[in-house]
Amino acid sequence: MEKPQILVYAEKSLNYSAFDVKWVPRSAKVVALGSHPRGTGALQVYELNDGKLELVHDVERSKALKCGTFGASTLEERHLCAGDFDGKMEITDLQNPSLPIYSVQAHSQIVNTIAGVGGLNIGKGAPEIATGSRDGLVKVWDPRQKDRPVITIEPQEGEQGRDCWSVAFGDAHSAEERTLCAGFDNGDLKMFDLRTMAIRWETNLQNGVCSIEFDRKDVEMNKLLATTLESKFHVFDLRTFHPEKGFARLSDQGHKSTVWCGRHLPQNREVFATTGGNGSVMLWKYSYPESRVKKLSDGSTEGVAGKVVPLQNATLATQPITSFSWSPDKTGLSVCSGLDQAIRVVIVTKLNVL
Amino acid sequence: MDRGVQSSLILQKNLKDNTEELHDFLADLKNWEKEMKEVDQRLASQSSSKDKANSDESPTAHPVRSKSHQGSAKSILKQTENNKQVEMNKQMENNKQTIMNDKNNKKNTKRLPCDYAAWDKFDVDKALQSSSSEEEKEEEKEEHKQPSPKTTPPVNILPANKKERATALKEEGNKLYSKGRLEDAVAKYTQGMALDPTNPLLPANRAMAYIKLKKYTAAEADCNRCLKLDCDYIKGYLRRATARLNLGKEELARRDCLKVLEMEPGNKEAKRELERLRGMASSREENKTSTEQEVKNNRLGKEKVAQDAPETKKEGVAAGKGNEQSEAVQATSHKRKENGKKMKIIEVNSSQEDKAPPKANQILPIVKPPHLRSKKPLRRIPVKDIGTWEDMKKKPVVEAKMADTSGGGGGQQDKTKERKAASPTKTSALVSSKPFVPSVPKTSHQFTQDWHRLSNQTEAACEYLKMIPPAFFRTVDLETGMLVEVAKVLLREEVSPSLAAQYLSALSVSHGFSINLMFLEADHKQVFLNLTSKCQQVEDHRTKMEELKAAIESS
Repeated sequence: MEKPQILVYAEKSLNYSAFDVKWVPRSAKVVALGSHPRGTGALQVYELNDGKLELVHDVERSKALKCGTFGASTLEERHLCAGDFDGKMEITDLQNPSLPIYSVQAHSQIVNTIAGVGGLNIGKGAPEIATGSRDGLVKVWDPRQKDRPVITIEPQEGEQGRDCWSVAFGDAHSAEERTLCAGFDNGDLKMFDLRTMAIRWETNLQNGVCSIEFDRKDVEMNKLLATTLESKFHVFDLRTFHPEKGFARLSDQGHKSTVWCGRHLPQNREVFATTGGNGSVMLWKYSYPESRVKKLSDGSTEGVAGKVVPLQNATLATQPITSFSWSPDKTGLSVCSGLDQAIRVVIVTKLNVL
Repeated sequence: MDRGVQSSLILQKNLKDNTEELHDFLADLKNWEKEMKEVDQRLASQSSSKDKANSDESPTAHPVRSKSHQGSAKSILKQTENNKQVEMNKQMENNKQTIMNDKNNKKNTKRLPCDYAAWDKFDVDKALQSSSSEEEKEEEKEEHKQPSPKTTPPVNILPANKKERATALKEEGNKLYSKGRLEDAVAKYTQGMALDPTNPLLPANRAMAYIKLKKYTAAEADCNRCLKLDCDYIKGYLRRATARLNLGKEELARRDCLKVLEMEPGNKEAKRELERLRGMASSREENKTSTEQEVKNNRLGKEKVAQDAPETKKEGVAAGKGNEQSEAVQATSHKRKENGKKMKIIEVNSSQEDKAPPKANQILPIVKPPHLRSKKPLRRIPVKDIGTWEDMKKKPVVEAKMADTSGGGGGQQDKTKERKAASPTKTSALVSSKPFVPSVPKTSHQFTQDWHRLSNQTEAACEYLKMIPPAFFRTVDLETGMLVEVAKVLLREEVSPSLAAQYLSALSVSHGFSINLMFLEADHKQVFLNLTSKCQQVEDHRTKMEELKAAIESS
């Protein structure tokens, strides 16, 4: 009974499908992005008020929105970067949400995923936004540069690109260092070093990679959580790189369905939550092994993966929960949205004693 | 018991704790909400004030990734399905070489490094030589660069960017070329050349595209340009040789090929070009000497040449002009054959087509354009099934009159034969005689029917009757009328007495014959009497006939 509890605090039923929800940093507000039934984009801001979610802003966009991030904007500005079904990437100021600040036709097809780094006083270096799309390209944008991406990562000439399903920034512990990780629908997981402009490591997880997250963006890369289809997720120990074997990996299963989303708790990077296609949310705790490094017979060093323990499992909905976001300001407060056209504010208790 | 109570107590306590904790949490949450709203508003006001103040001097500690960065990133950073970065780097090596040279010229210690692997190929001395002059210029420009990252990119990056853009255009042009879109490829190369006129690859590639487009003069001009930029570029020479060859400048083309072989003795392409040149040159000489005959030969085709050759040979031998001339003629004709090989192949085929005469009974289709075709409606021709081919061959078509007698006889012969065989072909009987004679009846009913059908045609009836074997009549069951008619037919002269006797005796044994006799009328009786008297002549049946007579007279 010392286990953390997962409880729904507030629930809001929507008249559109919300694909992504994010906490607005330093506030009690939640942003929901999605698609109206007629195909137009929905951008709504709700505020948590006495146990209820109240609508603050409601904006309609020309095309359905798929994903959004606050990662690249400063705490003062808190601009939302969103990608839509047309391949456009737009940065919007939530105070004046009617017109975007920055707009670019990023990809030829839907922007499946977006990630930001360099803002919110997390990470060092220039603010950058990464977008991954169904056209197989991953592009990195700088809000200060118009129209052209700073980096384009494309499939080799002649190769057929796979849909990019998730991107994540990490390893931004100095102004120059930065790592971008991209997951694709065929299970490819590729890690790019943006300082040397080269692929650092790649592997294949057999199933489409739904979500990737580094446990912390602003430290030297420590752990990577990748969730895939067929109820699997993988945790990689990134401290030790072996030239042939790559990174040490731990795989586990949960939800008995697609693991849509995996998010680390901002206040404790060993705890993470995963959401599943069966509408459940599971809380996990990672524990390190005795020694994170192992020496092999030929002298090279190899990493050792630890163990992951499920702390709690709660079914919140009947439809898949596709998006989950921890509040960076309050431990245990989170918001999630699913394909059942509802957003829920979820409380997880007892996390401070873990 | 105790433990059970204990555990339940513990459970209850836990539950209580949980709910308490939840309450605390929620209360905390409310406070937190208020705090957050304050923070939020504060930040929002801060941001708006900041916007007004700091539009120009935003922190420049982290500049946008520079374009040279981006250029190299574009060309170098590609996804690979395999995990082999080395291969990737090798592919990009050419690109890198050109870029690297530029970069080394503009080496900047403050610039963020971009590609570490390329440093392995870095040539220090070369860089030092080229950079020493340019460094001074660079440093001046650099100072201007820093304060305004937001504005247009600084000038000194542009040259490098141009060259990279040119190389990128070259790559695009190559792609289009390999797809076969030659005009578009030329456009790309032209663009690249405009951006970077010092790159010898661009005019070289454009020359290749022009050659494929058969614009040989333009190709030659491009090759000249390329070789001016890089006098050791072998492909430039080769392409110029090809262009010149096609323009007819054979001497110059040969010189280019020789130059290539000088630089690279093992170059196969150059050797091939030289061979072609020699071939063309020699054929041109031949053409000059024997143009007339060649023209004639080419017109008439292979056969004519073949005819000519033996003719000339013969002439040569007959006239005694000597082997030399005949040999010469043979040699020229032989050579002509070689030279005009290509042409001859075509002509042989065409001549064969013309000369093959249509066979006598071969029906060729008539092909007419739609407006010339007949506009009459189509007529349906009924198709009669007249038997197999072999049967038709056996019986040539004869006239109608003959059919009755000879055909009839033939038919009967057939019948006798075929009776022994399994199944008589009815058709042959039909073929042999023109008038319609039904086949041999198997039952009396059939006989009756057929007879009625033949009622008008006495001859046919006669035929028919003759067809039927006498034995048939033993088992027949006829009506009186039928009997009379049969008898009448039998009376006729065509039926021989012996035959008639046979039939009659058979009939007499048939079922109901005696009864029928009783029903006979007077004139019919007479018919029968005549018949019997006719048959009396026959030896075998005399007694029988007498009996019959007696029977008829009495009834």
